[in-house]
Amino acid sequence: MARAIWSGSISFGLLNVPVKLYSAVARRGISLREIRESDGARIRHRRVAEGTEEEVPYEKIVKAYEITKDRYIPLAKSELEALAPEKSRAIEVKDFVDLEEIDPIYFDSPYYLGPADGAERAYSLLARAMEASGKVAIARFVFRNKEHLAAIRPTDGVLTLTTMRFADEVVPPDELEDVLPAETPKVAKREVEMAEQLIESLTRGFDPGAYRDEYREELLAMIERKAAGEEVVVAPVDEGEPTKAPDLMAALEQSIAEAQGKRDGGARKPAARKKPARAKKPAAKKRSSSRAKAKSSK
Amino acid sequence: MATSQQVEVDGRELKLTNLDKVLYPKASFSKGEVVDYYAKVAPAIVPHLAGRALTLRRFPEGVDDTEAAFFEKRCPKHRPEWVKTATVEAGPRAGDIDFCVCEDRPTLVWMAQLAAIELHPSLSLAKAPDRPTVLAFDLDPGAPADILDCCRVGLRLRELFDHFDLQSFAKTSGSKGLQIYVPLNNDAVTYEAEGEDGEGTKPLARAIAQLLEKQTPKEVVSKMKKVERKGKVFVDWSQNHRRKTTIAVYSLRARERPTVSTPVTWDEVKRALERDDPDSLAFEAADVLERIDEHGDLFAPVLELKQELPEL
Repeated sequence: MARAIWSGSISFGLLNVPVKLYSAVARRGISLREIRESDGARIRHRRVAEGTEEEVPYEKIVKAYEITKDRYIPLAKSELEALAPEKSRAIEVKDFVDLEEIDPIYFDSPYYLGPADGAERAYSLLARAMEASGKVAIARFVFRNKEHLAAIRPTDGVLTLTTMRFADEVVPPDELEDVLPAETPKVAKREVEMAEQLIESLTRGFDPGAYRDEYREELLAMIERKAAGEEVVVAPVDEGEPTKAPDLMAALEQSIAEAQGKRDGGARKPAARKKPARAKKPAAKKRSSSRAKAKSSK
Repeated sequence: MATSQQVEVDGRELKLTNLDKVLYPKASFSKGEVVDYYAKVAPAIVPHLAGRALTLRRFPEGVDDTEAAFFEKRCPKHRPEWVKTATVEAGPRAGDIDFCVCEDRPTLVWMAQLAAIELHPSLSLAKAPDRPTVLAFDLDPGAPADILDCCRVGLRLRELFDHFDLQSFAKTSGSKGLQIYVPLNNDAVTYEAEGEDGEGTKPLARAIAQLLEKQTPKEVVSKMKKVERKGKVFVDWSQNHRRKTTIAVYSLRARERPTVSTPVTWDEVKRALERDDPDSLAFEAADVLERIDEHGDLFAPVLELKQELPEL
């Protein structure tokens, strides 16, 4: 069962729906470790005071704001904590808006909202009402010591919550006017039409499953190959190689079955193990008779 | 207590230090005892190390401090001039590395002095790094599976090799598992198959592991992934690679107690299974020296027997 990462309640007007928050994202990054190339020794990062080799224990480290170079205003943990937003358990709905009005640039991380125990009815009611109105709730709540703006949307009876960036966190395009076009240069109508046509031809329904993190998959595949002892130098994957192993397994299976058949049919079961005569034989290749030998030496 | 003494081992001068340092705290087994074990086991272990690039696993602060432990492929620069080395290509990035090669007791004692508790040799000789002298399987139990489950799989491997008229030998890993060696000592064998009907140990080992998994998917797993190993025996075929190493027979392991990778007879494997007695397959340094006195080197045929890979 998924574990809730926060619990509280959605409140607006007189309505109060106890909910739990669940992450909607499975972090699928691959964490890599650092080792010394020559012998695989793990690399340890140590916190040392600059200019010395002295290690500084975690509890002796404080955060500081650098006002000018090498001049710091230290901020004690207790001071930072005092400033943290008041812990509140409410997701306060401020407004309802149309989804289309929200530029996706404001969306941050997605979560699911589930009903708290005993609040299933109120939760369903809210989800259904929001679905009927076709609106998105804009709310504020405190989560992980930070005040968040969030959009709450219903989809198929489930409420999702997406944290949003505050307006001043999003860089307006005119701050990047040196790189982003400020005014529209003249373009030929025919060229626009051609581009529109191309877009039209590539237009289809959005299927999120159609896009995969290929870098991650390739990295994993490479790790597996290396773990299996193959030296991986360049990326290209030999497509012929993986299918070869099962064939060999089948050959092995068949070969054993044949050996068994011969034993059960003709010769006796091997009794005591004695050193087979061929054991001392030179390694010359006489493969054609090797299976027959399995029988005859017993 | 910094004790240091100059000793002579088979005509070689050696300085031994910190002999009373405890390397196995739970067993109160000191560095002196590690050195003593390797000095005594030398006649049995040296033939199995001779001519092979050796990777040392050193535990300068004892077996419990794995942070301080490290694998060492490059033979230490400060070695005595009589310690032999071999240059072997260790990969496209690591390039050529001078590995230690152990051919005598003084070298073994010197490595023990470095707290090189575990010795991991290559499956091939340094002069022919592409030619394995054995086909090896490392049977690694994923809890709650144990060494007895490995014994069951080991016996199946033995039976499988029987079909091909090949002799196989078992040794404990000295840790949790069992390892099966099929001696080859045959110049025609390489790790990787070359062309259609090449004689690669790796593809064969992989096919065998896959076959075992196919026959008993609840008991055997042939893939690396840790999650899939629970309650199963992982048949590790991937050690059959020129750049891989496997724990040496008679090497100590860095476990709680000074256990040793010990050769066992197939009868002992069967008996352990019949009596449901996993402890009968756990041997410590002193037990191993006794066993060698009694049985000699049960793994000697692994060095001598010439066998061919089966044709499939």
